[in-house]
Amino acid sequence: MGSQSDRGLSVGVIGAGGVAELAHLPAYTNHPKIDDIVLAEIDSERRSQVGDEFGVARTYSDGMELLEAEDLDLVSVCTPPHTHERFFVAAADRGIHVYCEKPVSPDLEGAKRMARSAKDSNIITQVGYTRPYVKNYKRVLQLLENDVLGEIHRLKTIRIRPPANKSWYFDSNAAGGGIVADQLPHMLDFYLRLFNTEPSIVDTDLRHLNSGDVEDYAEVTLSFDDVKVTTTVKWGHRPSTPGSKTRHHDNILMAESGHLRYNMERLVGTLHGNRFELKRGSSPMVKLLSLLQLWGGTRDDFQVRRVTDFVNHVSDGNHNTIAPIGRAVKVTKIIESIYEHGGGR
Amino acid sequence: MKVLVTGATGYVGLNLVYRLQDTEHEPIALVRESSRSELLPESVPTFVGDITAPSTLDKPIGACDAIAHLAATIAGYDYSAEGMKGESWELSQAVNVDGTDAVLQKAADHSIESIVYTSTTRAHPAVSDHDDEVPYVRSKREADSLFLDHEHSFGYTVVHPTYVIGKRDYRMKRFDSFNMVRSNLLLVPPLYIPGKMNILPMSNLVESLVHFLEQPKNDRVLLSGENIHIKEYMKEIASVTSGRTIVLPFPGHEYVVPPLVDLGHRLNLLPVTGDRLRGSLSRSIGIVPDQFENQVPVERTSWRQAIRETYEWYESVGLL
Repeated sequence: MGSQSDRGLSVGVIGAGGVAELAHLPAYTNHPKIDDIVLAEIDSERRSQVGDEFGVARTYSDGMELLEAEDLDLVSVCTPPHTHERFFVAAADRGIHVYCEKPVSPDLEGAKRMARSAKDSNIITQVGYTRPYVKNYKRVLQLLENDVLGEIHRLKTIRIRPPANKSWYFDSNAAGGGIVADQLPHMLDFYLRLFNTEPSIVDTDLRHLNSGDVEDYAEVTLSFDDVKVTTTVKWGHRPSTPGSKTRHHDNILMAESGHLRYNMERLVGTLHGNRFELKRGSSPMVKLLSLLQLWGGTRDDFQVRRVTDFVNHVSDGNHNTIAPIGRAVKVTKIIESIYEHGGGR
Repeated sequence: MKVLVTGATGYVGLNLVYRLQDTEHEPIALVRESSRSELLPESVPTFVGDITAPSTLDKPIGACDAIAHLAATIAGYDYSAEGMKGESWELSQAVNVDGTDAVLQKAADHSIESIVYTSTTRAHPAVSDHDDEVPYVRSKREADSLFLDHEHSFGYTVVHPTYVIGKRDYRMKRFDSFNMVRSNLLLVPPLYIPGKMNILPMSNLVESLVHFLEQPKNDRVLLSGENIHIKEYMKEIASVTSGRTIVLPFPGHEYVVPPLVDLGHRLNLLPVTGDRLRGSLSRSIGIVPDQFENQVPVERTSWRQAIRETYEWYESVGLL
């Protein structure tokens, strides 16, 4: 098992939901080193629809069955969180490298068991944190690492999303909680990259606004070496008309040399009195002071890039992926502390 | 020689410290409490001190053989009540004149061999234009006199650099033009202001500073490149940044632009009036009389190369 140079790689995708369709299957389909793609999905209609869309070689109704039957090099685990561990450990036992979506596990113990099995089997792992692949977020890290920003003084993040469309999101046992378990992994992963130290929890405010079962609003203030980071997340209302967006995402980072305001789409920097603006990593084509800015077509395929990067690591036998499973243990630990501080899930 | 660099975390200071590391000399940085010392190479020793607090200078100057005195304030940069006015004579006087005086006194006390000091283009008699002298230039002119009008126990050189560009521009002093070019497919006045400028590559400046530390002139020296059109500067930036931006002249823009801006203002489209622009639609940056062009005591590098290095630095740190 493992990477072999004389033939292409075989890959399995377990779970044919949105993230498999958006990130994993497009990346695998277009990767020159992948020969064979197989898919497992419990829902038969979804299975045949997604299977046909990407022309996968074989399909299965059960992920364990797929792992038993196929001789795989790598597998993507894209199922609900409470099922991750089973597939992850089974894959690790067979020496199959694993890309696991977030949150890796509903609880810290599960995440630890997964990390242990990966270590014992010496497999290559990656967790589905997106931010290190998003152009604007990469730019923020680059500016920080190269001493352009100076010390960070404060960071505020707000993210409002329409409520999830799967019932397991509202089942604490399956998801590990509500909006905190769903949305904070990406953010915590990024904060750890910015500050490179573990935070203490200053304040938490978890509320059940429209959902009785899990929290659907949270405001969490963390302290990273005395720098306060406040995160507000909320599941808003469903869009009333198709295509309309009830979402908002914004980060304001204040630092010694100025401030950055960014999300997945825009980055606006004002540093030493100089303002610059990027859209998905690109400069405008027309900029009349701050009055008018026009962009040409811009793209940021971070969803595909993150999976492609994993394949490249597997192909090179490189364990040092951007987010190995050990990183998820750190993130899950902070999430547990947030729930503890906020009075439970 | 052990060379104390004042203003070591500034634009020129950082580049000089890095350059000195590659010579037989040893740089030592003078930094204030608030300075961004993390920008300095780790191996460079630092002393905390402030030229406006002379007693803090004995230890660092006592430990050195020579001084590169670069520390200065450009009034208006600070957040102090005086600095905010942007016209502060008091602040310029305290830092640029009295601070320099303190450095000179301590240099004599501690038997320093050589000092190189950076003044500014417009304080040079061949360039000066007393009519619109700002506090910064006036303070530099007064500080120049502290060297030139007195006898000293050490060798010295007062250098007047023109518009310096190069890497390590952490304060983004030269960023605006690069960002403007990067963010526009077409550049016409008033997006850039036509006029002339004189560029001194940073590498030429720091080489010259080292040269004068070793061989003091006991006089002032203008350090310059060639006078070029700002349009050429923007064009060269375009060739290295986007490779697709077109820079065009706009003859008569001084007459055409203000009425257009007035119209835009009346239609509530623009926040400024044409009046605000009149008089600022052409300019010159550090240009020198023809006979003073290309004056450096070291091998010259081209201004085009300086633009390339500056761009590459902005790109490497994530600014472009």
